[in-house]
Amino acid sequence: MEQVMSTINLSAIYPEIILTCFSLLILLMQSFSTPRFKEYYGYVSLVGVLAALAFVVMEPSSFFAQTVVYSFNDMWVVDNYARFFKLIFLLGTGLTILISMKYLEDEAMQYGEYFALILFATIGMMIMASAGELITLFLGLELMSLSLYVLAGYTRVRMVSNEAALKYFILGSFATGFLLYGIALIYGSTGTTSIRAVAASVGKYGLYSPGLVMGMAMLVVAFGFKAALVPFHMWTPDVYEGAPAPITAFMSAGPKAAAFAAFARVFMEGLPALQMEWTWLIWIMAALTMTIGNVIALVQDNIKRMLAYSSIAHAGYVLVAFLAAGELGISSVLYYLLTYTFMNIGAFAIITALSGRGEPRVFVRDYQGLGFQHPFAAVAMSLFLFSLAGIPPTGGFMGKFYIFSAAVKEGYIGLAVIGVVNSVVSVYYYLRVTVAMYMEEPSSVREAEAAAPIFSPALVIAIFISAYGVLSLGLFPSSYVAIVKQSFLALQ
Amino acid sequence: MSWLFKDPVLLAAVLCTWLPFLSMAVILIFTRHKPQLSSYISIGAVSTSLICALYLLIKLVHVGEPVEYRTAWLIADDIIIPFGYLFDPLSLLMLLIVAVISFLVQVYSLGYMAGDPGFSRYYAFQSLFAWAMMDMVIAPGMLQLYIFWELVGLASYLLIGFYYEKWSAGQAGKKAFVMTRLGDIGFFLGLILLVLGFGDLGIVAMNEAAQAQAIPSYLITASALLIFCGVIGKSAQFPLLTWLPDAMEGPTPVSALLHSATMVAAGVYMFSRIFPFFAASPTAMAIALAIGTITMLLSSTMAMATYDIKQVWAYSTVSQLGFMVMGLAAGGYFAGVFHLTTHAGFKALLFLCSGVFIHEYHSNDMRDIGKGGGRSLKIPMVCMTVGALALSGVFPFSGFFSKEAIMGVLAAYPNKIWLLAGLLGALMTAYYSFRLIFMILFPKKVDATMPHDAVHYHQEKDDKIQIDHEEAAAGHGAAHGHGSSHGHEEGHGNVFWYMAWPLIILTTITLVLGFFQHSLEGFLLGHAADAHGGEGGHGAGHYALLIAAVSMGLAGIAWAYYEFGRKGASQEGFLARLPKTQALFANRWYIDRFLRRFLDRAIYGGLTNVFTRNDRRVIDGGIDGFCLFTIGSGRLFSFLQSGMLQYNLLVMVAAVGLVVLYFVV
Repeated sequence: MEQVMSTINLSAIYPEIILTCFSLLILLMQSFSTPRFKEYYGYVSLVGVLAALAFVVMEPSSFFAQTVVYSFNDMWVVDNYARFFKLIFLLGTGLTILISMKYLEDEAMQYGEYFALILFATIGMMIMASAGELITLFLGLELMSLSLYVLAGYTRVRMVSNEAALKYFILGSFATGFLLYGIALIYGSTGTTSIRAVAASVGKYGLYSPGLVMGMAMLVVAFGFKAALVPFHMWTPDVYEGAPAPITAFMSAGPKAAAFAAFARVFMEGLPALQMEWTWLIWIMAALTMTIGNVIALVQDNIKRMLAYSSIAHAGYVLVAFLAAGELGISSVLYYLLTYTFMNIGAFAIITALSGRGEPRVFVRDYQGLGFQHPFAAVAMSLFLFSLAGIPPTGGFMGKFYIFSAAVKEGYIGLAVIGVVNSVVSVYYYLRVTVAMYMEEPSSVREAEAAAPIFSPALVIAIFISAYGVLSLGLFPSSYVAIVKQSFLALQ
Repeated sequence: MSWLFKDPVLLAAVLCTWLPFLSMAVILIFTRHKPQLSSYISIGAVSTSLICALYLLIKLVHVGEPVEYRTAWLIADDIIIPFGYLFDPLSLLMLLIVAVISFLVQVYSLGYMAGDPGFSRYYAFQSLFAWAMMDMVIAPGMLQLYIFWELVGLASYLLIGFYYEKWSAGQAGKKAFVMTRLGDIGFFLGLILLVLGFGDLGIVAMNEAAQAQAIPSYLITASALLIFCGVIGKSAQFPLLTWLPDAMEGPTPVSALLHSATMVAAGVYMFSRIFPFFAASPTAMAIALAIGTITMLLSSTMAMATYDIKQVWAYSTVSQLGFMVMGLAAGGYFAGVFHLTTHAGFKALLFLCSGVFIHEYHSNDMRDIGKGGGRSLKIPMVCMTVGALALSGVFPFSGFFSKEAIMGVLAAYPNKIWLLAGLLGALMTAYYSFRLIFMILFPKKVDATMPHDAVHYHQEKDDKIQIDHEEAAAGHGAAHGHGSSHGHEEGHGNVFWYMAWPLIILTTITLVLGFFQHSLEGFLLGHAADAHGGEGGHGAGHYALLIAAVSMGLAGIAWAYYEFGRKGASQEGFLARLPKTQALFANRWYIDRFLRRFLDRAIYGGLTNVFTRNDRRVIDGGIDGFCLFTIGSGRLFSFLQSGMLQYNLLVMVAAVGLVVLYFVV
């Protein structure tokens, strides 16, 4: 692994610069142009995402060259690990933009801020993935969070949306407080905020001060909040339910992955010595997260709320792999997050299409008989739900397979058993939707108020991309595994 | 995609194996209601496959080492499960056989199936079969082979039950599917055993490791025997042989394609595919030899007692498959594969000829065909006689050469009893083939009364089928205005020639294929041929053996002539004088009855009961309890999860307290 160091290397932040330019461009278009340009904001941001994607893969050197570039005095790291996460973020962002365009038009909310904020949030995530410093990390996290607070309340005429934004903001700032406090404690104990320097210090002197341990505990809380791990998950259902459907899709994929990216970097690279200390804590959190997420999801009738709990449960699976650590563990974290991005955004794409203006139709009963009226939507939805439930030949199955085999290999057999039992439980609520779609007659009330679902070309493209991702991850896992392994190596 | 076009071999391989799939998809989705177009699409796809298969053969014929394109499907620890293409002489040869027979049968079906309401569906299933079979043949790993093996089974099920409105056809399809699946369970268990014990399902790797004795011998024996169960099911070996005669419920071209030339040969193909692997276990080879012999003898006797023309060829297929297994199990790799090749040609020929008779006279009964004037159909009659001569192993037809090769291998075997069994089989084969030929060629003038109950039973069954068939045909005719062309004097024209051309081509193949024995041998065995000095008994007793085998065949023909052919022959056969034996043969040695009883007693009476109880009480009860518990706790938790902000913060602070406590303590 070649390491390149320099004080300032702009090529390391090209993707972020590009995205920033594009979000500013959209804001300028919004201010200076006539309203008839409003249809183009989405396309402009898509172009930005694609350009950033290209630069992530190509700059500062090709993905497979395995170089690690440190820049800005170690505040910034570009390695394959960071790049893989950036790919996930940009993928999630691109898909979200595709499913948003028609949605905004129908809600009559086509403003540039929406796309600009999504891009800002993406930049925040990318900063988190590349942060070599706790302060950089904090900046990224705040950029992401602040954008998301606004986005959650974007449909401001709806009460639930406002409520979601406010709750998210208050609880989120609380979590940010913990993060800052944790960083402060670590700085106080080690005299540095650079992750590598912290690692060096801990390696030299050991866990010498209670302040360091406390700081770590605070970081666990903050990351746990962002990744929605039990017991820091309380905000998730309300926010996911209240936010506009495309934003829920966005929040469930990218930011969660970003939290895991930072979590893994700080704890694997910065504090490997602490691993023994936290084992049981993570064990308990993983078990609780999986179980509580799945069990509560069983009794939900609102699909958005159900998927909110399901996303909590999925974070639990990822945490299992995180605990297993090592090559297999971290590789399966990456694999699973990629799969999850495809399948969850895919499912939300269908939900977006069906929800109707003002999102009145987001309940399981609204899906009754869908299999006969809209076979395409129903097949796609079933595919994503099967994948979420972990049924072959989908990516969800392979992802779970890798996670649980990593857990078993590292000796966490109890946790693997809990995980498998949980995925069995989860099948119930995912299949409930499929059953409603194929085996139940549409209720007459629904037919009366039924509006045709809106399948814009962009949305259909998003569904196809997601379906392709889910299937190819399930059918041809080996090529993805190769990429994932490349990405893991960087963290060593 | 550019990688695809850089390598013409790979491109040809992909085209060859995936076009039929495409054609199936197109037919099922788009052209279901345009039968003519569907058949052209399907035939177009399969003829492209044929061209590609030829190209591959020509291109790779001189390549010594097997050419492999593979990608690992699953990487988990050190388990390797490859997918892709493997081209070696064996797979190239088989690919060509499958392509040729599929092509001819599809052309033939243009005539045979004309006017059938399920015409498009028929061609879709044909394409499905071609796709599955070709991808199975070129599989570089056992899992891919297994997957397509099962797909071949699916295609067979669909095609046997093609006349699904007929009850017996549905039953026959089901029977074929279930019985072959039974063997496949063993096959799959064998693969699992192999993955656990060896970890690599690549065919080349397996063979090499077995030859180098890198796999413990108990593992080879156990997994080879389990895998051989798959051969038993698919190639209708004892004791799972009774599904194949029943499978004749399908349209005759299907019988020619699946149940004689290709699908049933899949078992034998798989055997030869991992031949070195099998050969590493003498126990497995001995058992395979015994099973092949039993199958060959049993089914030959069955063929002597039936009057259904297709059933005769079905039993004969079973017995010839048994013969191939014998050849392979006795160590004759080339002999087995060679017989597989020649058999594919002449057996498809025999079925397609029978198809013409059945199409013409609306009867499966050889006596009816004879009385109806079967001899007047010149082309099929001549072709069928050629096929029967080949089947009986008469010089210079292809069957002679391949049978001779197997006999040679058996003669080289220390225990001569297998050779005797083989010779006996040859005698019976010639007898029943020419019994059929003479009955059609020289029909008896006076109606013979039915001699026996067992035959009576068969006759009734056949009549029923025949009536259904006619009704169906009449129905089609009315719907499609094909009533007159459906097999009567006028309107032969195209329909007849669609059916005649494949016959002529196959006859030619049957005539000349035998003379290519040496080039084929060189091709299949490569350098090994020189080392072995070739297989097929070039020993001292060669000429004696040759004479013995041919005279067995001629004796069988003479015997048949004495009983059925000569003027004033009773046309009853020696079996009519041995009613007990005849009943035994006609009832297939009571294998079906035994299996039925075994199922009823042991499975339904014993095991099923226990498992049902376990299912109801333990599993269902446990799951119900678990569900109630989870849903209950779900309600409880979601009650705790309130949306109140203050409460949320309180929980969070409490949690932080716990985390800190954890780290400090």
